[in-house]
Amino acid sequence: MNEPKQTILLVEDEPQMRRFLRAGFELDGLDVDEADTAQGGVRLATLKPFDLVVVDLGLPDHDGTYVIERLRAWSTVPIIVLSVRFHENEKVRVLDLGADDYVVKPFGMAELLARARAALRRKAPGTALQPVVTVGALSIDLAHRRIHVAGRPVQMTPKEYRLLEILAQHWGKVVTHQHLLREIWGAAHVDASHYLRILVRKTRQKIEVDPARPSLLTTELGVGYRLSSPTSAPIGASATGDAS
Amino acid sequence: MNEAAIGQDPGLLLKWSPPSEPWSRVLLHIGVGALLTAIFAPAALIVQSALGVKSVHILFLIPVIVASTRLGFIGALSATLAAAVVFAYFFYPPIYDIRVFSPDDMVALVMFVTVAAITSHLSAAARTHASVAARNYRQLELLYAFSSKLAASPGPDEILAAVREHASALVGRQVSVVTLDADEPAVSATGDLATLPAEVREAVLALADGGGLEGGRLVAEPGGDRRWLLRPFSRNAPRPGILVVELDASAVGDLGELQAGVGRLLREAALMLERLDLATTVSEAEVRRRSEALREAIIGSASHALRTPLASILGSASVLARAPAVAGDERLSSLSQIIVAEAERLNGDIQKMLDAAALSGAQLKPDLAWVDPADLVNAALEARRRELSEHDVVVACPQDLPLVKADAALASGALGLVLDNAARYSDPGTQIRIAATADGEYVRFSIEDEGPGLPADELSRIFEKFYRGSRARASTRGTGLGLWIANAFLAASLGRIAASTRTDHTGTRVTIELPAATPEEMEDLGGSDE
Repeated sequence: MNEPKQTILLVEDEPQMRRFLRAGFELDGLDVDEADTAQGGVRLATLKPFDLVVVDLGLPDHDGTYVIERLRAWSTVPIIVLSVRFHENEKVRVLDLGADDYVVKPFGMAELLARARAALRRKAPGTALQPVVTVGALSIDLAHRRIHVAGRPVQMTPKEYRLLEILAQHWGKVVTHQHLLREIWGAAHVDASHYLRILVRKTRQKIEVDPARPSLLTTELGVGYRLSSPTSAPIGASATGDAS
Repeated sequence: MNEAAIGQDPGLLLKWSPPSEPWSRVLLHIGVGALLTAIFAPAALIVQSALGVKSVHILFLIPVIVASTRLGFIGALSATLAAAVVFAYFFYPPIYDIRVFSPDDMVALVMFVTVAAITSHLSAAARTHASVAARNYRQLELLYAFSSKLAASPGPDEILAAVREHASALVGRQVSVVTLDADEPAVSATGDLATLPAEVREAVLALADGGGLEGGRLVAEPGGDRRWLLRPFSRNAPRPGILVVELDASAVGDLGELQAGVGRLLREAALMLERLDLATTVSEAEVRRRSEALREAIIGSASHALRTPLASILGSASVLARAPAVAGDERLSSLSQIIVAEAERLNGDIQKMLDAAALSGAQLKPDLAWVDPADLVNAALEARRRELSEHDVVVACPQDLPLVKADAALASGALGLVLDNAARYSDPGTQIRIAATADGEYVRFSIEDEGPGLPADELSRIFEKFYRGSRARASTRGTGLGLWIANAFLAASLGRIAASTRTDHTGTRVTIELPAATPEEMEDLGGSDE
């Protein structure tokens, strides 16, 4: 294939981190440009287009969120945030600022590459206009407002459909509780996260093979929900019935 | 402040009377005053005859002033009257006759007596003030010594010893301190109680039992001269107690003054103790705040300093493992896998130590919300994917469990730590079973392993910090922190944890319980779906 290589902007101040990240991305056929400060990263991003930005949260001149804010002012480029410490509130904060995903240090290259590939797929030309989003056995026809599981139509309540619709529009990304609550129930109910728990549970019962061990509509504990193709099988076998 | 308790003596059975001088002393002062004038008279006669001084009576102010400064008003008055007699007899004609005829002499004599009386009154007042000032100075000195002693006192016992010593020095009498243990249902007293006579002991206990630790009481020895003044501490004192002052038989006159002195002492001591207590509290809070800030800084920098190189090690090894040259060579790829596995294990141990350090300090502030129990189980399993990879994990999580109230991160963290523990202490290939069941007000999560199990005496100890089971100590690596942290996480998140020995199989069962929503609450929590 003569497709131009996709380029990643890496904003990270630790030289050792940059070295292995560059090697890891290049081994996977991706180009890498580096910046070791937030300012440098933002400047580089204005000079040429990137397919993905990977930014560390702890940079010497500014917080990594500075980079997210500046880039989001004019760009929809996917952003993945790296950090040593990630409290749930911080995860929500970077997602609200417009980051696509986050990875907690230390991490293995495979994990970051999986997230990067998902972000790049979403960004690929044409995907934004896709009327049907297919995730595993689930397909969501956004144009006709229909849900199919393994080819069979499934009846959804309006809120269940709305939930899947929002997650499908952001497939592969974590959508925060607040975002979902605001979109489904309205701004007055952004604290009523229990509505969401019950709604997600009902929705899973209709779309998941094993609703207690979901593989499509997954929970990011304390942050939100994500609709994505199963990357690896959920750990452990589920005990059926009450045999012990 | 309870001024009433420390400032007044409502229960005191004595009337205050002004201090009065004994008669013997008054007579002595009169005699000495007259004697001073008598000693001075020959000198005045010699001065008059030698120098021919007319107004010699002015000179007699000298013995009057001496008497007033040394003896007080009574002595000075005596000296004045003696001087008047001496004038009349020796100096004013007719000499050697007490009568005075000249109007000049008469006026001079009256003037002298008036001036001498005023002078002696003034100097006696000055003397009183001076002695009061001196006594106040001494009391200040004592108080200063008392406060230094208090400040240096490491505990209540030393403080009470200082109170006793100060009270003895201040009132110049034997003082005993009896402390009461108010927490006991029956009042028990310690301190100097044993050294007191039986009737005083009874009075002390009666005073304490009455609960009204206000005012005071006077106890007399039946058929004897000795008496004791009982005076309770202020209610603000660090612990309740009674000061017992022994009075001797002669101490009748200045009893009122003594009471006032003891009252003052207790008031000052109470204030001092309050201030001391406050200062200690303030400085403790300051120390705690600083050490808390330091702890957070250390945890923060340790977290960064340890994890940053670890991130490079783990990341680099994971890239190496993907490189064709390494991936194609089984020996090399197994080495890189070892690096990755050990780095992850190290990361887990660092996390535990940082969690333990954080838990030892500030209280965790849980972020409580309704959570799906299945989400907690799945998040814990996902976080422990690597640790559980060699075990046969079985999950039994019904779909209709009620939501639980918990801090999601803490609760799933605790579940993960228990799973990690189960994987560590049971052989690879054996089964680890995690099940969630609804049980009334709780959802119970049980994690069962097929390890060797724990002896009964160790079951209750495995949640202790750094405790490691005897069977695991030699064979398995571990920090002894995991279950302790799990316990602390749950304690902060409305949950509880317990361990038992499995009855159906060898192994250990750890159960975690989190408060569940009632069926009515579940109705409300769902909201409207239309």
